[in-house]
Amino acid sequence: MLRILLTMAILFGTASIVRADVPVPPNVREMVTTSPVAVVIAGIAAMFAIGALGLWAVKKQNRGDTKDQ
Amino acid sequence: MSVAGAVIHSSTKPSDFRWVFALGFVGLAMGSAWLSVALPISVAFAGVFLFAGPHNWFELRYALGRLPARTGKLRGFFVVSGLGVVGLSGAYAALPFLMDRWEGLADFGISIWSTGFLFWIALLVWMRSHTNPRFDGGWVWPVACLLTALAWLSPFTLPLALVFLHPLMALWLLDLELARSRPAWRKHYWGVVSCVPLAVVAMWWQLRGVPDLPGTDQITLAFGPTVRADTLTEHVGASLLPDVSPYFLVATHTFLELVHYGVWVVLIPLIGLRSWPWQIRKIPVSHRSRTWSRSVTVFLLFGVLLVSVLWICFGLDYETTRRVYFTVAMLHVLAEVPFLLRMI
Repeated sequence: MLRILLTMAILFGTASIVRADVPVPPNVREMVTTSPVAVVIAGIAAMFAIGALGLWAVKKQNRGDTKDQ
Repeated sequence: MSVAGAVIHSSTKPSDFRWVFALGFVGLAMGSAWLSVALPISVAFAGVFLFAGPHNWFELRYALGRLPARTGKLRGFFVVSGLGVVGLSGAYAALPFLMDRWEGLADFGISIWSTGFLFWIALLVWMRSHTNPRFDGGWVWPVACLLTALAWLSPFTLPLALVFLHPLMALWLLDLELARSRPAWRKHYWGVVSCVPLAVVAMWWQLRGVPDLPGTDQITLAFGPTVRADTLTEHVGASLLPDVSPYFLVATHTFLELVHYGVWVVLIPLIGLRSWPWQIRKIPVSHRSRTWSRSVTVFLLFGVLLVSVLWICFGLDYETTRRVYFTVAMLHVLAEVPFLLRMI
């Protein structure tokens, strides 16, 4: 599970950093940033999100294993 | 011990008050929705003019009534709350000046503020999870990181969401207050509070094709010559959502604000205040010492003075006062967050 989450994190983060040229509808353009720096920061934050989620999942699992014992 | 609220006569059953409360809430919501659709600009103007200051004062009085006399083990939580409320409010007020100075960095400023806001809430939730009743708060960090990513991808979404979500916090607080003081009324409340989203859907159905606001009528102009419709549309983010009817956005925001004011000015004082608003001795923190008691009295009286000054300023120059008020009002929006967390 953790490996899947980490793989997703790397893929998502890489995709946002590379900034795939996905066309957005004109009415969304003002709501979505066009700054590459902002996109990179968003990608890094997303990677941290998935990493933190993975850590929490592992901690919860370890807590559950300790309770069973 | 005197208690605020309706006197219960022997012939009146407590269940009758539940229905009075429920029907009163529906009446408030439906009346607000109808007024917001019929006269969005006038009602927005009148609502803010009449209730903005008083609802803040009632929020303050209610919060003081719920604060413990001593912080004890919650000292850290209160310190972080206070620093966040003051710091984020100051940063929010400084944003327009920074944007004027560094025009190209407007989005960055908002994203940085949003990041600070999200991690402040995450820290408060995490601290709250370590006090009774305890819960596992580890999920808050991945959620904060994910929302931060979204805040950097779409900088204006969070501030715009706050404009519409903040009025709903009063409904949540009312639910928590009912859980404490009137648990038997809660089911009735859950039943009637659904009229709020239903009203929003009905308003969208009615207004989705209407492009423009009706314009400021003569009565509104007579009382507030500086009132402008574009100020309202700017506040609700109409320029960011060109595919959504500005009429619907303004009417929805006005409706939610009226419900918010109604909850704070009428419902929570009737249900949640353990004493009359002027009974300072019933406020726990005033028991610490005579100095504290006098300080609380002065603080509340200063609040009354501020409400009066606000009314005068609205009368003199509504537009400027409105802009200043909604900038300073971020204080109370932020203060509701730790308050909500302590009530859960």
